[in-house]
Amino acid sequence: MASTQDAWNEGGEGKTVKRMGWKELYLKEDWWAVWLGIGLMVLAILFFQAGSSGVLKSLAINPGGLKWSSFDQLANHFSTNANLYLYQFLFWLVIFGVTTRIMGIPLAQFIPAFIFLYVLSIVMFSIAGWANAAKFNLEAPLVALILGLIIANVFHLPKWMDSAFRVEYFIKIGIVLLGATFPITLVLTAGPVAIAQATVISLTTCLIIFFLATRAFGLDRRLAAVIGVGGAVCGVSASMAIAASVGARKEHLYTSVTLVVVWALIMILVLPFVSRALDLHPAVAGAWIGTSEFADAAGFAAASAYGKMAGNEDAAIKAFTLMKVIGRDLWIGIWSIVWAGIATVVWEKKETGHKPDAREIWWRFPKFVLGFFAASMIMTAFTSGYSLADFNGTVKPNVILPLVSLRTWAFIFCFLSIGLTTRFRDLHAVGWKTFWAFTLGVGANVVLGYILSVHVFGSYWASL
Amino acid sequence: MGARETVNAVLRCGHCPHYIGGPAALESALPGLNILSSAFGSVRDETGLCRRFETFVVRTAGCIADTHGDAPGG
Repeated sequence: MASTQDAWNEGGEGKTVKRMGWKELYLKEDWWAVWLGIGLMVLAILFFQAGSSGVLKSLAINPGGLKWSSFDQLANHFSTNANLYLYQFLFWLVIFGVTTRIMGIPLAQFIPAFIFLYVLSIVMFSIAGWANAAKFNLEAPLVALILGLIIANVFHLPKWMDSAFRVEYFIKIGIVLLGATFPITLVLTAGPVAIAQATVISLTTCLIIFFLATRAFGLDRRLAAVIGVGGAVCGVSASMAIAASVGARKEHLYTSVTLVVVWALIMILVLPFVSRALDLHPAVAGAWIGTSEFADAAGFAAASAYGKMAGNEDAAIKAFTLMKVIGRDLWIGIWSIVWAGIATVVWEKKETGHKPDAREIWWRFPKFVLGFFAASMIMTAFTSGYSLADFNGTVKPNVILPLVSLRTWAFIFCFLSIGLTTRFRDLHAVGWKTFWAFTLGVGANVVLGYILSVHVFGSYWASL
Repeated sequence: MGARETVNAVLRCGHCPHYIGGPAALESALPGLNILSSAFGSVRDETGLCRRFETFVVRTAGCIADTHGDAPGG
C-alpha cells in the first residue's frame, strides 16, 4: 500500500515531480480493464482453437437464462453446478483481488466485501432467471440498483466495503468485453454519426448550464464549469477532469457529485419506462439514453433495462455505447484543455488552475476505450474467416456467448455497486440556484437528445 | 505568464504534505466520488486535492500560495 501511495506523493523537496509515466499501466483501472478484457477474449479464442471451450463456458455460468418456475428447480441448478460456481467465484476473486491490490486496495477489505457482492449477484441472476420476471418488470439492472440502494441506506454498510464495490472498474471491463461483440465496421460507420449528435448535445447542454449558472443565477464560474461538463459529458469524471484546469474547489466537486448522482439515478429509473411508453425501438432508445445519461454505469443500467423490456438488449446496448462511449467520453481531454484555456486566457489569473497543455488529450483519454476498439478489431479479424453457418454453429456458442456471459457478470457487479455505494447521507446539500441551473440543462439535454435520436436520426439508429 | 511559470522553484504539489493524490485517499476525502466515478481512472490523470486550500491541483503544479497569495481565488 505504501509503495502505491508513493507513486502519487513524493517525499521531501525537489525541483521537479515526474509524471507517473509507465506506472499508469498498472496503477490505473482503465489499463487493467484493457488487460483483463483483452486477456479473456484471447483466452476464449485460444481455448476454442485448442478444442477446450468448455473451460471458459464453465466459468461463464449464470442462472439468468434458467427460466425457473419453482425453487426446487433453482436449488437443483445450484446443487448440480456448485463446483462451477465455486471455480467462478475464485476466478473473479483472484483477478479482481490481485488487480485492485496492485492499485492500492487492501485485500483484507476487498475479500469480505467481494464475497458479499458475489452472493448478491447470484441472487440478482436468480431473480432475472425467474420465468415471470419480465411480467413484473424485474429487470436485473433495475432490481440490482434498487436492492443496492436499500441495503446501503437502510442497513448502513461500513465504508470499507466500498473497496470491492468498484462501479467504474466493473463497467470498464464490461465495455472492453462488449467490444468483442461489436464489429469494427459498425464502430467505423456509426461512430461519426454518434460523434456529431453527441457533440451538438454536449456543447448545447454545457453552455446552457454554464450561462444559466453564471448569468441568470450569478454563481461562481468555476462551479458553473464543473457542473456544466458534469451534465454534458460524463458526470463526475468530467467534473474531476477539468477541476484542476479551472482551479475548482472541493465544494464544487461535492456539488457535482450530488447533482449527477441524484439525476442519474432518477433517469435510470425513468428513461426505460418512458421509452416503453413511447414504444421506442431499442436502438433509438439506446441512442437517446446515451445522450441523456451522464455516467457510463448509469447509462448502461438504463439501456440494458429497456433493452430487456423490449426484447432486444443487444440493440439498445450497442446504440448506447456508440453514443456515450465513442460520441462523448473520448473527448474529455479536449474539454479539459478548452476549459484550461478559458480559465487562463479569459478569466482572471487568480482563479486559474494551470495552463492548457495539448498532451492532456492523451493523459486524460479514457484508456479502456482502446481496449474496446482492440477487442472489436481482434474479434472481427478472427471471425472473418468463418462462414455465417460456422459462426452461428461453432464460434458463437463457444467464444462469443461465454464472453457475453462474463460481460453480464461485470455489469451486474457494477449495477449492484452503484446502489451499494450510494449513501444519500453522504451527499451534500445543493443550493437552489445550482440545482436549477443543472436541472434546466439536463431538461434541455433530454429534450434535444430525444429530438435528435428519435426524429432526426431515428431511422438510422433503428437500422443499426 | 501562467501559474506554472510563477511557482516556487522548490515545492511542487507532488512533494507537498497537503496534496492528496492517492486514489484511495482521494475517495476517502471526497465521499460519493466513487458512486458513479472513480479516483482510479485515467480521466482524473494526476489531479489531486490540496488540503490547505481545498482546491484541485495537478501533481506537477506549484503551490497556489506562491502564485495567488494565501487565499486562492473566489
